[in-house]
Amino acid sequence: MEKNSSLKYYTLANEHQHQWNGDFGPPTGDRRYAYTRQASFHQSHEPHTPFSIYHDDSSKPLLSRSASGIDMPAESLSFEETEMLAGEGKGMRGKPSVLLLVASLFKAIRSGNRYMKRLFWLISLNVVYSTAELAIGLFTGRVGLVSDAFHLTFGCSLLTFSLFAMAASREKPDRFYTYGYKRLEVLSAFTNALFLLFMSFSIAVEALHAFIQDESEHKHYLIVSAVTNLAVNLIGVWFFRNYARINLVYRKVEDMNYHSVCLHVLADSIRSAGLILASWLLSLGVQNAEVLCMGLVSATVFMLIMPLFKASGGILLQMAPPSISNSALSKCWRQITAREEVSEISQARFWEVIPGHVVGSLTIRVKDGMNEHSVLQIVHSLYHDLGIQDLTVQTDES
Amino acid sequence: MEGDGEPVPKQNLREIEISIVSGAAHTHDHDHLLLDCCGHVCPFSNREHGRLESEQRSKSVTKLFGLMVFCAIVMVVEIVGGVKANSLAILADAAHLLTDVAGLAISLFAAWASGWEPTSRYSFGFSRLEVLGALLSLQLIWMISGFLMYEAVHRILHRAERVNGKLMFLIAAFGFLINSIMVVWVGHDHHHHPHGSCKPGDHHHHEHGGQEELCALAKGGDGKDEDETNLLSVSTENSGILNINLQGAYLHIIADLIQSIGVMIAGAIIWAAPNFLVVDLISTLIFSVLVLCTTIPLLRNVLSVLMERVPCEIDLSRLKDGLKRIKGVSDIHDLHVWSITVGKFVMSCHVLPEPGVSSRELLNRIRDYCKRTYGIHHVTVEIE
Repeated sequence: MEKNSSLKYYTLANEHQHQWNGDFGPPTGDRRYAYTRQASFHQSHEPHTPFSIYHDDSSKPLLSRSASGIDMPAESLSFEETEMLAGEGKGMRGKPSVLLLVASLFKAIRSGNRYMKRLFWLISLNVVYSTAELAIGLFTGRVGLVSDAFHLTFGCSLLTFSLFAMAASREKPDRFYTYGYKRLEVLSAFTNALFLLFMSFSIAVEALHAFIQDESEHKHYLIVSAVTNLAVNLIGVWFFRNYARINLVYRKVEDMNYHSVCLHVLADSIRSAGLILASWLLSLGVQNAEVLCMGLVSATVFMLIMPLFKASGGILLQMAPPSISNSALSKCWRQITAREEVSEISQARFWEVIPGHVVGSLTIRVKDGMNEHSVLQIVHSLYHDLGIQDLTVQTDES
Repeated sequence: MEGDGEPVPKQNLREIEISIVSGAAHTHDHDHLLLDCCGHVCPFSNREHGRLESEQRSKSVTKLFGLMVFCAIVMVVEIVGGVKANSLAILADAAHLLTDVAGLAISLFAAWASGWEPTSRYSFGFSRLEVLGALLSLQLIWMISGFLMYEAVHRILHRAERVNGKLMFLIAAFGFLINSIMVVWVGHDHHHHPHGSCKPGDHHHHEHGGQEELCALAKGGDGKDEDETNLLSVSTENSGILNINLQGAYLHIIADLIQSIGVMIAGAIIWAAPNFLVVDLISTLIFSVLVLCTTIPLLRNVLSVLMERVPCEIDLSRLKDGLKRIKGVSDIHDLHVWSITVGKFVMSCHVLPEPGVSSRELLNRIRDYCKRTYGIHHVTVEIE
């Protein structure tokens, strides 16, 4: 069982990608996986465990960035973003001008991977659409359009944060963020999930409102905007169609971010579809169609987003890694305590920085006079088999 | 494996020293907890500041609970009054208070839940829930501000009807009063300042600043420069831990206060000159932006904890130099420092010792140094 899981982590596997993203040609897919595998191990690579089998990868630091494209420009240009991020520590020495920031963002996107570019196009499409809607709403005085434009803008800002997270997470770890910046993607996934939860809740409130107040005329002129909204969001779903599932195994942290973006556009399109359905049913004369449809939409979005919310929340809460089963950990525990040098393990904590990068700390009580180094080696190799690279083992003498 | 009759090893002595501060009964609990389910969790991290911390936690829980009950009562009163007087404005204010109650409920839950025992799945305990709770409160505040801005625009576009300035002013004044009472209630304990914003530049600015809310949130309330390395007293640390809940709740109330001020101003102007309806929109916009600005320090804190950032109070290079200077340390690598929640620091590192140094003593020296100079109580050191 553990061997299987270690295979999962170590092989630069083609079969993973064929499972769920059929559209990547093998060469690009390979390279992406190759780089990201090394990326997650490179960060844990600092020369502590004698067993890091990725020692030779340390000679190629450039590869620790994600995917295709030329890495040099990205490195020098996302410097401004690091400045911005780590600005608190250095004090903000002259806020970077907005123009500079935008320029650096554009360059980062241009050198980014395919999903970043797709997200960028999606966001621009959304911006164009919502400004058009806002303008039309203001000119013709239709409030529904204005409110829809607001809602879209809010969602858009979240997507922009996801894009920013994608760009900024390529930074190397520095003295302020010792584990690197990849956790930003987990944060953005969590924020998206939270927003979707709020949205589901507010749609439920809307349904309740409609139930109490029986007000249905305002649906009519929203149809056009709902249809366009649906179209825009379906384009988004198409872009991220590889991630259009509810339960996804997160092999690398970008998965989480893309998954959250996909769910975001999916939920938005479900909402628009619900509106369209409701108004169609109303025109058919079905009573309470709005309540039914909105209730359905709210429940669906909630079910859709729950697994991602729990997964990203678990990582942020430093929960024990879900990918490593309790039985595997207790087996390791038993193997260690079975050795005659070890009297007990007094503390063992494992958590994930990002999906796939597990960090652990262990305190072992060793009998007096025993060779600590052999114990250290054994412990490291045991946990290494489970896929835990970053392990700090403290040996206390009892 | 372990038993009460065994001579207590030196490391346990350290824990006992600390436990004595917080109530000696905990050493026994420590031993029992080692035999946890699945066996591989030692949750002593929650026991160290044991009783002191749980006292502070229960204090903040009661305070939050009292606030919530107070808010709920006012809300019910407003609902009844609004239904009787058939006024939509009062009902809208009651809805606003409902969101206040929601924010307080989130903080209350987070404060209560962070006292739960660590389990095998959550080996660090549930202190992080506070941070997530604070994030939720922040999101709620933003949603509300966004909603208010949208409502203001909506009102301007949709109904150009007459607005009753006097009613607006009175309701806002009432809301202001309620919120001030709550602020004073929360603000009692506020001289235990949490380690606020991470911007040292702001630190001095806010110390001399006149505005109560900014002052309360920033670092400088005490006048003491807590940037320095002597975070000795347990109480400062603990109040730092607990206050993030109160901070979230406090921010919520402050946001409401600011909005009430804005509505009062707009109401007064409309009362005086009933045709300046656009004042409503302008004041809502300005004060919403102000509210958003006040949430930024808390957001910084929350983000830095969630990103496993080196805590703002600790300078990594200084820590590394200090550790290297300890007798017997030849090199340090893989140094990580991060916080479980605001005020609780954890460190892990690998140490290359000089040959011939006793590892036990080296370990004790390192732990001592971290605890005394930086206030890092959870230290794991691998001596290679």
